[in-house]
Amino acid sequence: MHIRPGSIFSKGLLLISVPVALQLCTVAAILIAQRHAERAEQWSEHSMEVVRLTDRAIATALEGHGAMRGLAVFRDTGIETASRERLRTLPAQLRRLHELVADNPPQQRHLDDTDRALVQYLAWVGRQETSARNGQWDAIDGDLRNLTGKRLIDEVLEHLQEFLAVEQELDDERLAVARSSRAVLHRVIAVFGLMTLPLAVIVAWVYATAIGRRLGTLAGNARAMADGRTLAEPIGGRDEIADLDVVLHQTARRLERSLEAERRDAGELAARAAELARVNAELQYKTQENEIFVYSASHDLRSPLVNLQGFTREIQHGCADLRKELAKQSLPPEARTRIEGLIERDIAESLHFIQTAVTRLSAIIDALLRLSRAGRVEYTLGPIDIEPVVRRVVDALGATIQERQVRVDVGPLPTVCADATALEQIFGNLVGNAVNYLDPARLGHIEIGTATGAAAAPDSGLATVYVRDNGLGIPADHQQKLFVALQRLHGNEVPGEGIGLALVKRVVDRLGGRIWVHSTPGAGSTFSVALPAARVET
Amino acid sequence: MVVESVCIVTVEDDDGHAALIERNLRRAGLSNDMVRLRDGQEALDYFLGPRADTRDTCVLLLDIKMPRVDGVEVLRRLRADARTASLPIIMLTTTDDPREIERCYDLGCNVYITKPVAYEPFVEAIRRLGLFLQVIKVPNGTSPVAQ
Repeated sequence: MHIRPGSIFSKGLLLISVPVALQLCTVAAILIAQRHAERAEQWSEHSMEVVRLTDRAIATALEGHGAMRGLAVFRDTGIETASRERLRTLPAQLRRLHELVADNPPQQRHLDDTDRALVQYLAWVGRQETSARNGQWDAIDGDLRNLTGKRLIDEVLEHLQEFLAVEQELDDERLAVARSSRAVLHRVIAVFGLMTLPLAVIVAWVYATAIGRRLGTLAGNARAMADGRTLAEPIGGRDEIADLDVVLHQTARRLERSLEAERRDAGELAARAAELARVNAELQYKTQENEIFVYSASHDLRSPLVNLQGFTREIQHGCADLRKELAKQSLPPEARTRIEGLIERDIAESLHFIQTAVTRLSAIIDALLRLSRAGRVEYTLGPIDIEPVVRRVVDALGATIQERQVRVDVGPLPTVCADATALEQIFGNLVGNAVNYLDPARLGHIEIGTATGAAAAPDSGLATVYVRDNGLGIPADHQQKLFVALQRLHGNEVPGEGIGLALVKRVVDRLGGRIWVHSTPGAGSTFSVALPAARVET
Repeated sequence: MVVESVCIVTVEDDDGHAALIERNLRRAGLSNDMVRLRDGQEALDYFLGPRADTRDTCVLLLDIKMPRVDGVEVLRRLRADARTASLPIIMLTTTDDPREIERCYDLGCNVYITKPVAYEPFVEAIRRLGLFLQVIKVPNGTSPVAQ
């Protein structure tokens, strides 16, 4: 595993390693001290063993020598043979001691001396026993008297005593060492135990400064960023906290920039929205102004029409009166015929043309008034089922439909959010047009239904209804002008003012919908009206 | 058959309209006195001015679109004045805007008639107006004469 220098992990390792190292040291020190003490104890036990064996050798020698004296005194080879025999084990005992003190040359030398003295003494013992078996008691006595044996054994004992003294001294030394080792061990445990407490404090302090305080600054920076305040100076350092802090600073800068951009955009957006609202208001004002103008103009046009119509009628009344007067008068027949011809033909025909023109003009003005009113009238919007509306419209046209043997199919129709009167206007015009512009060459078929798929408006919030006929159809170049006021495709063969579709478009626009047409001349037309679908009540 | 004492006052800026109204009322059989006033101001002077005297036996035919003072304002001022508060007032105008009609009724007109351009309905309206005038109760106590 790769450990980055300066990282929190490495700092943590460092922090943990200090007490761990300390504890390892403690354990090592304890182990060493213990081992030391153990060795001292082993040495001490070793020395005691040597002392014990030496004491036994001395005892064996003394006991054996006593038996030798008994032999001389009682002149009997049968007594204390065991003690004498044990003298023979002394070399073996010394060999054992040799082995035990193999590491100590001065003691070896003492044992060597003892060995030599023992060889001489055992040789003496051998001689004495030989003499005794041979009955040469005098020689034994003599030898006893001149203390040869005693001298020899004393020498052995002397060497052994020296050896023992040295060994005891060693034993004391080793005991002291063992004791001191124990003491050292206790001290080590105490010292390291006491050191742990301040170390813990130091480690905590180091952690607080190295990690805790930096984390605090980092948290402060994060809070500052969340609150949109300015961040503190960069923390510095090489660990993950510093990295995080750098990232925090970068993020804060980016946030600042995007906020700046957002403020700029918002300002621009507000400016655009204000502009749009202004243009919209202007447009609305202009539309209103237009409608008021159309209304006033239409209205003002009506007044002269009332006169035209009224006075035409007055002239007709006048003509009637004139005819009555003429009947009373006696006139030459040709003059009467001429005057009657003037009244009946010329004047009557002129009056008829004036009346027709006035009626037509009046219809146009009424239509214009309706159109302007379509823009001004207030709508009451609500969910309305189109189907009963269309059925009412079809019923109203019933006479014409029956007369022309038109087949009318009304399919299932949607519920839209609209105004009832407005809907009646829309479908009254569309169905009326369909009936009026049928092709006389074939039986009429009109179909009103709900458009789906590609035939419907792409906006999912709109429901599309179509009115399809197999009528005359509309030439492509006229389809553009279809919804403009006072544009009439057909001449006088079908009555109309050229207002209907303009009115329908105005109403559909005001309801927030769309209207469009697909038509093939000679085949028929399909008018589609998309209106805001009524929201399903939950 | 006709209440002779009732004077029909037509307030109409259009001379042709005024003439047509008078002729058709006459043709419908009314022989009452007829006064023609040319605008709203003349009407106010006639009924509320210092020389106002014949108002007690009047019926007013009031156009709306007129110069100086329009018909609606005349209606409002006449209804506000105690002397003319119960004067029969018939709005006779080319405006068929429902809001305008409602406003006039709110201000207290007795009848609102739209001037039709088609001659027959116009005559019919005037005829009905004539019949209406014959049975109307006028403030001077003259008993209405039923047909």
